[in-house]
Amino acid sequence: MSSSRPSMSTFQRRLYRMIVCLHPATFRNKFGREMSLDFEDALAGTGFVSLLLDASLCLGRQWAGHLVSGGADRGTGTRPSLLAGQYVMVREEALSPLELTRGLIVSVTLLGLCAFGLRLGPGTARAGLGHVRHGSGGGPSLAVGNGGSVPKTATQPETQCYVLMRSRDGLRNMKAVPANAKPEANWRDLNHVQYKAMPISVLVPFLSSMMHCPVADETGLTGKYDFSLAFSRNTSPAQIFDGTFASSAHDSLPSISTALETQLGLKLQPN
Amino acid sequence: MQQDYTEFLPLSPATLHVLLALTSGDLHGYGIMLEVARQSNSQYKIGPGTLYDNLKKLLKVGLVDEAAVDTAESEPRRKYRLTQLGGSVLAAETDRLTSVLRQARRGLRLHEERYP
Repeated sequence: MSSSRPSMSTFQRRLYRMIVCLHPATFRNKFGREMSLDFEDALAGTGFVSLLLDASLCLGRQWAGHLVSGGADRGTGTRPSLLAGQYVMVREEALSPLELTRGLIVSVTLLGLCAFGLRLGPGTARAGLGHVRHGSGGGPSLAVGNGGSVPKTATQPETQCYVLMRSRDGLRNMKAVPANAKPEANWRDLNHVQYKAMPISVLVPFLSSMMHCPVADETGLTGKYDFSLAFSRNTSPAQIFDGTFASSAHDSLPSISTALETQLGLKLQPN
Repeated sequence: MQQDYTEFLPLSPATLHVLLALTSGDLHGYGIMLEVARQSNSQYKIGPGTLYDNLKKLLKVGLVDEAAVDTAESEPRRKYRLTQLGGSVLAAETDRLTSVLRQARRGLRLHEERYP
């Protein structure tokens, strides 16, 4: 039973991200990343099936609102939008019958998967309409204060998809600092970060979060370093599904894996 | 001239709890989820889907605003704050609920007197 947990956990994450990807583009672009992060945090305390049902209901509400409003919040011009697991060019006027049929097929498939999840996780489905009811094991850890700084859930043991290692050309722009220096992370915005006196071990959970998959540290770097990273957070559906990242055509910043290689001399290798 | 907030009322339970959670300060999504559970003694919990569905509506009507990203965190997240309008609507909803509560207590007292 315990050996099936890692693959189940990865399956749960992928399924949740798939549902997030099926939301209308405007909603997904604004809240998709936050939803995935919150899912990771809430998974242990709330239960997978409850969160899945919650996301599925949200998916239905968003598409219903989107279609009823005629896509008023869609913005101007055409844009690529994920529908039925593919990117299509959504026009201003409306979705075509073919696109709606594709969406229907995916929705039915998802419902089937939800039913499959219910069979796998008996006793965890306690979601009511529009909100998640009690978990079976008492309340969640309530570590939030006025600042709202919440510690992340402890990482579950699971299969590691990527390995962080040194590239052949050696380290770049990484300045070693004394071990007693105080670690500090300064985010200029969501795409630029400057680390001071940071051990590589701290970077690994962040990379796992970016790659949506655990990353193993095989750099052998045990000291503390000053370094900066500039990277794009944009992902395409294919990249989300297979767990790889690359920059979009509209973004001048490199993907996280490219940024690691070109800016730091570190390499993110699929395991 | 006092503004009329009745167009926003009554608030749905999820919306009420989200606004209530934000009275404790700027919070990111998971912070709101935890605060909702804390304020309701874990009797009411919302998932990310319900949360962002509500936040989208609240941002649109201006009851909630985005706060500055806390760049000191290792994984920066968007934070949300209650606007002045949001606070006023929450106060109006609290008044409405207080009135409902008063009526409910009075009705129950009369009911007990009639059917002791």
